[in-house]
Amino acid sequence: MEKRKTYVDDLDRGLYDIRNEDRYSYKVSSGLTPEIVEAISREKNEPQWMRDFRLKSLDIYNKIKMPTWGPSLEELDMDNIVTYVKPDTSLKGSWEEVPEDIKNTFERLGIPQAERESLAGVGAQYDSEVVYHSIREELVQQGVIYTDMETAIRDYEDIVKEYFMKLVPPSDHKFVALHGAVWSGGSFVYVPEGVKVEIPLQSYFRLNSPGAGQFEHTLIIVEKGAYLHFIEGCSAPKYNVTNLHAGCVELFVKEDAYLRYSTIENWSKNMMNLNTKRAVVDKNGTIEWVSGSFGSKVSMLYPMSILRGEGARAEFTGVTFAAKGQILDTGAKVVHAAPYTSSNINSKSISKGGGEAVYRGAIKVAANAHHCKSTVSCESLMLDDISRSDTLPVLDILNDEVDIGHEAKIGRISEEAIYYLMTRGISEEEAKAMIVRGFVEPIAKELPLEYAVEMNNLIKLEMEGSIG
Amino acid sequence: MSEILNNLNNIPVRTWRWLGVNETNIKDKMPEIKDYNLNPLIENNGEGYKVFDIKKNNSSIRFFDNKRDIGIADPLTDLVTKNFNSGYLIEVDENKKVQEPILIDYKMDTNNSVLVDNNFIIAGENSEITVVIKYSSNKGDEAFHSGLTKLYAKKGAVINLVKVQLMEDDGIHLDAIAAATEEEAEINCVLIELGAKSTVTSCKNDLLSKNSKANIYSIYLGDKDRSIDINYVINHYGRKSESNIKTNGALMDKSSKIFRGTIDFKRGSKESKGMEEEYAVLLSSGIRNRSVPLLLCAEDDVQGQHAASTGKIDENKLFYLMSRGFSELEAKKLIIESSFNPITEKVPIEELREEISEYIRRRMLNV
Repeated sequence: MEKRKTYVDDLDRGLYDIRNEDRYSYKVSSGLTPEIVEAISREKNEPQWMRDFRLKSLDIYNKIKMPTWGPSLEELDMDNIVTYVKPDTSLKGSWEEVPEDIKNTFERLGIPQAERESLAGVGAQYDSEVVYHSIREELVQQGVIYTDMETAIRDYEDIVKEYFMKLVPPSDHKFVALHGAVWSGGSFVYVPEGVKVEIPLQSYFRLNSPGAGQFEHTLIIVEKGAYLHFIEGCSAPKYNVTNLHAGCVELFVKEDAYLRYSTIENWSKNMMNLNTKRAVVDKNGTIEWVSGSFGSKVSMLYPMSILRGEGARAEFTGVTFAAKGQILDTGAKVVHAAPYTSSNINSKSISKGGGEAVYRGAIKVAANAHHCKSTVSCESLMLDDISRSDTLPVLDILNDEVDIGHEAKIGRISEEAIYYLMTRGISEEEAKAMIVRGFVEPIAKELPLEYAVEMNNLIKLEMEGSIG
Repeated sequence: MSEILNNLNNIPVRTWRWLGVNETNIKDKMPEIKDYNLNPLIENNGEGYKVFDIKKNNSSIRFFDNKRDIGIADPLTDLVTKNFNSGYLIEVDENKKVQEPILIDYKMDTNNSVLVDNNFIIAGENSEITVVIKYSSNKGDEAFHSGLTKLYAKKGAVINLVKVQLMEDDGIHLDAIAAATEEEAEINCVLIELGAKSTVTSCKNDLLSKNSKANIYSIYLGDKDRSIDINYVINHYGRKSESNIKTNGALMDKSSKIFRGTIDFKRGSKESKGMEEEYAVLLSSGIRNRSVPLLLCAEDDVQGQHAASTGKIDENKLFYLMSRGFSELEAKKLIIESSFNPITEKVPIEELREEISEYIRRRMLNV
C-alpha cells in the first residue's frame, strides 16, 4: 500500500498579525551602548541603584560569550535592535482612556472581555511600557499588589530591591545580562501571607514596533500559605526585520504557598524569543508551569524550578508546535536542593513543514536531596519527513535515596488509529485532527477555559486531504 | 607522549555547559608509549577466517581507509591510529559462519604496561563471527590502555563483539568502537566494563542500509572513586534499520558515571526502530550519576524510545535475602549480579563468565 501523508496547516495567525502604525513618544536609537542604557533609566526617572544595576549588567553582557549550544542566533544583530520604545500614552486604569488603536489591539486579543468575565486583574504591555493595569478592589483590600514594574519600583522600592534579579542574576547568561541592562515594563505581584487569589491575574505583552526588543520583567512573590494563578500571554505582528524578546520572570514561592504560571506564547515568526523564567520554592510550596509555545522564529526557553525547601514540588506541562521556519528549543530544568522534593515534567511537541522542535531539559539532584522523586516524560509527533524533533534531557544525580524516571517517545500518527476511526465512519481528515487534538489534550485541560479555546484556535489543524 | 587528551566522548548535539556532559577531558597525563611484547592471540588462520597482526601487515587495514568515515573524529582515535603498539585484523570469508569465538587476551604487566591496540574486523557477505577481547592488568602496574576497534559487517553478515575489561584499580582504560553495518547485516556489542579507575568508552554504529541492525548491551560497576564515561551513538541511515541499547549499572562509594546514549534517525531511515534503556542502581550517598539519553529525529515514519531510571536498591529484595541468612553485602552483590546477568550471559566463554562473576564478587565484597 502506498504510504499516505497527512497535511496539517500552519497555525492561523490572522488577528495576531494586524499591526498598528508605529507611534511612540520616545524611542532610543538602535544598538546597545552605555548612553542608550542611561537614556532608558533617565526616561524612567529611576533611583540610582537601578541605573547602576543596568550599567553593571551591560558590562556583564559585553563580557559573556554567545551560547555554544542550541539554535543559531547569527541572525540577531544587536546593532539593529531598538531596546526601548515608549508608546504614545501613559499608564491607564481604564480601557476608555487607552488610545483607540492600542485598545483595539487588546480588544481583538480578547483581553478586556476576559477581564470582565474571568480575571481578577489585568496588565497590558505595548512595546516597552505597560499601558493598562487593573486589579479588583477586594484583592487590594487583602493587601495583594498587582502593578507594573515601574510603579512597583516607585511605590514598593524596598521589596523590589530585595528580590529584583536575585534569583536570575545578570551573570547567568548573555541574554539575561542584556535584560538587566535594558529591561522595561512587566508586572509585579505580591500576595501576602495566607491570601488566596481564587481568580487568575493576567498580563499580556504585545510588541508592535518593528525591529524592537521587548524586555519585560515579571516579579511575583507568593507569601507563606498564599495562592495565585498567573497567566502570561504574548504576541506580535509579523515584520520582515528581526524582533527580540528577552524577558525575565522571577517567581518566589514561599512555605506552603502555591503558584501556577500559565503561558501561551504566540510571537510572530520574525521574533527571537530568548526568555528566562525561574522559580524558587520553599518548604512544601508548589510551582506549576503550564506552557504553550507556538510562535517565534527561534525560541530558547527553559523554565527552571529550584526546590530549596523540604517537600517542595514542581510540575511542568508544556506543548510546542514548530512549523515552517521555526526552531523551538524549549524544555524545563529542575534543581532538587532539599529532601523530599518532587518534580513532574510532561512535554509534548509537534513538528511539521520543516519546523524543528527540541526538548532540552535538566534534572539536578543535590547531594542533600534524599527521598526526592522525579518523572520526566517527553513525546514528539512528527507530521512529515522534512521536519526535525530532538530530545536532549540530562539527569544529574548526587544522592542515592532517589526515584528518578525518564522516558521519551518519538513517532507519527498511527495508521491503525486512523484506520480504526475511519471504520467508525469518521473521515480521514477528521480522524487525523482528532488524534492531534488528543495528543495535546493533557496540556489543553491544564489551561483556563478561554485559553484552551485560544489554543484550539491556534491549533486550527486544517486537514487538506493527503499529499505525497 | 605526555599530552593530555581533551574533548573525548562528545555528544552529537551540545547542551548546557554547567552539566559537564558535552565532552570529557582526561585529567591523567598520557604515559610514554613503549613496545607491547606480549602475544594476546596465537595467529591462527582458522576455518573460514584469517587473522593478521597489523604491526606486521600494516597494509591490510587499507580496506577501512577506503570506507567513508566509520571512525570517530576525536583525539583518542587519532592517538591510536598514529601510535598503536598492537592490534589485529580479522577477515571472515563470505558465507562462512565461524562457530568458535576468537579470544584476544590483552594482558598488561610491569614490562608491558602501556597497550595501544588497533583492531579491525571485516565480516564478508553472509558470514558470522564472534570475537571476544579481554583487557586485564596487574595490581601496582599503573596500566594504561587505549584502543580502537573498527567493525565492518557486509551484506547479511553478523559480527558479535564482546569486550571484557577487568583491569585493576590503578589502570586507565580508554576504548572506542566504530562500526558500520550494511544491508541485512547485524552487529552486536556486549561491553562488560568493570575495572580501571578511569574508564572512557564509546561505541558508534552506522546502520547504512535496509534492515541493518545494531545492538549494544553493557554493564558497569562503580565503586571507590572510580569514574566511568560512556558514549554510545547509533546512526540510522537505512530503511527498516533497528537498534537497541541496554545498559545496566551500579554505583557506590564516591564513584561517578556519565552515560550518553544517542539514537539518531537520519533522513531516509523510514520504518526504522530505535530503543534505548538505561538502569542505574545507587548504593551510596556519595555517588554522582549523570545520564544523557538523546533521541534525534529527522523522519516521521520511525519509532524511537528511550527510558532511563535511577534509584536505590530494591529494599524488599534486600530484606528477603537477608532474612535468608545472607549478609547485607552478599545480598547486595546478588541483586546487582542478577541485574547484570541478562548481559553477562551473552559472554560466550564459560571460564570468562565465571571470571567476571568472581571479579564482581571481589569488588563488591572489597577483598
